Amino acid sequence: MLKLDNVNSHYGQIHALKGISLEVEQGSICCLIGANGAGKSTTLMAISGIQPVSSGDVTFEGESIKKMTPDKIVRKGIIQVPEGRRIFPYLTVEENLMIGGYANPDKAKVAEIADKYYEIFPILKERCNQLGGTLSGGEQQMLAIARALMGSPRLLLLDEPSLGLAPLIVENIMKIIKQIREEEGITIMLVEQNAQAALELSDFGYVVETGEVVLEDKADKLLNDPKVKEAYLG
Amino acid sequence: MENLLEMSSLFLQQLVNGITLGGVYALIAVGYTMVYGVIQLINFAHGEIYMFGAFLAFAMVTVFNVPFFMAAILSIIICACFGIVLDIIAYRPLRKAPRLAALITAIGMSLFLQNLALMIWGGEIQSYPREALPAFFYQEAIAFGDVTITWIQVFILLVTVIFMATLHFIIHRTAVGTAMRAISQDKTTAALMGINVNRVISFTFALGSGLGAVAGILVGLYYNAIFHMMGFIMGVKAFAAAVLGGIGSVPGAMLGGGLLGVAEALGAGYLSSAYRDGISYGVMILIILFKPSGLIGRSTTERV
Repeated sequence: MLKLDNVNSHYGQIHALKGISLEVEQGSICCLIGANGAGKSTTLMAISGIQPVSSGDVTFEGESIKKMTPDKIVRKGIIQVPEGRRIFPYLTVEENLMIGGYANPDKAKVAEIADKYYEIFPILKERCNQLGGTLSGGEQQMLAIARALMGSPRLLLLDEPSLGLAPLIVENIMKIIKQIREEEGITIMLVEQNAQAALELSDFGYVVETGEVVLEDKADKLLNDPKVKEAYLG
Repeated sequence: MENLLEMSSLFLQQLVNGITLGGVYALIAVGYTMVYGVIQLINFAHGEIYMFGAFLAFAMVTVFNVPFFMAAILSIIICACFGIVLDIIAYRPLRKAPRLAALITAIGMSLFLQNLALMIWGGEIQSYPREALPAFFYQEAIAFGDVTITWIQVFILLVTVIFMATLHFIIHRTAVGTAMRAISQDKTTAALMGINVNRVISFTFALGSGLGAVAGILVGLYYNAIFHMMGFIMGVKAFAAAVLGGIGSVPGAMLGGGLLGVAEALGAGYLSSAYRDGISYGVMILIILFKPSGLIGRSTTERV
């Protein structure tokens, strides 16, 4: 479904992605694990069209998207939940959701999706007129996921959804991600520092170190890989 | 007793004048503040768009004999497009450049447009021909005691209120308005949610420039003076109003405009009209010194 072929990217002089190649299969959950600064978030930003790709190609369903603007990529069906959630703090919960549906031309459909997620996340319904910035971390993460789903993605990119959340809430968020795949059939690409949780959830995993993929395998294999165990699972 | 009446009528008269002027300041100030909100740029050429708004309507009325209200509407539309073009050719190429580069470009565009107007219309003060307007415009609408409100003042207030209410509606009740607010809070995430950021920025320029043109036409009517430097003077004052309210905040610009207009009119009435401009600049300096975030602006933290 999504394919990165030898993707390079730079921040000024810094060579952030050094020939990343990976593939996400339709209907799967795939994860990128690795340490802080390894290039995981940069990879997602390159897919979303925010971070320029200097060479290599990014294709989605056979079509190159590397030169597309971020809003076009969203319209193709790839939507990202950015690291740190990045809820619009001075928009209400409801307005945050509506922004998620901005690119969706079918407004009746948007309202329908909103109702659905209000049902799945009743706390959002309760707080719909509250400013986004007043929500707790876990609530913001739910809002960030619901906001991305408002655009009816076919591929959902999740950047560190467990970041800064209490273990119980992380478990809840992971359950929601699984549910999204199973009930909506949305393909998921997950970036995580929490390698254990990510691999348990995923079908396939990539280990990224200093801008390169150093290891790739089925997630259950990676979970039992001695190198991964030592470096990332503790 | 008589003295007291005289005092209060002077006060009321200046208050009315001040509110009228303040409405115009507010119309221009929202243009500064909205553009600042979305791209963190003080668009110093905004005053010149206001000036072109006045001149274009003037040219249409005098050269092409277009009826005044039609000319006004056309001028507003042209200025809105003009704002978009200004952004695309002058500011968009510098979107990722240091902010100072765009600021200097803005000052350059301002000078360029002033001189362009000087070339086209000359340096003399022009005015809308009296017969272009309905005669009642120059009559008083309301008079009690020594206080009079002319129809032009009523018209200015009415137009200001209608446009401000429309603007408020656009910003808070429409999808594109919500997108404007989202962009002002976090441009990258707005793009990640599928917002075409450049298109929304264009819309913001169009909105601000259109309102600037409205203000230019109203002031041209009110003071009977259209000249190539009108945008510079007014621009600085409206910018002061935007800073007073809190740059980036639309309600702040409305409040700042109103307050500045009243302060100026009262100062002109009680001290001397020579202090008129000094009051605006003084207010701006005081605000920058003591409350840089403005009256109702929020102190923004830099987001990456």
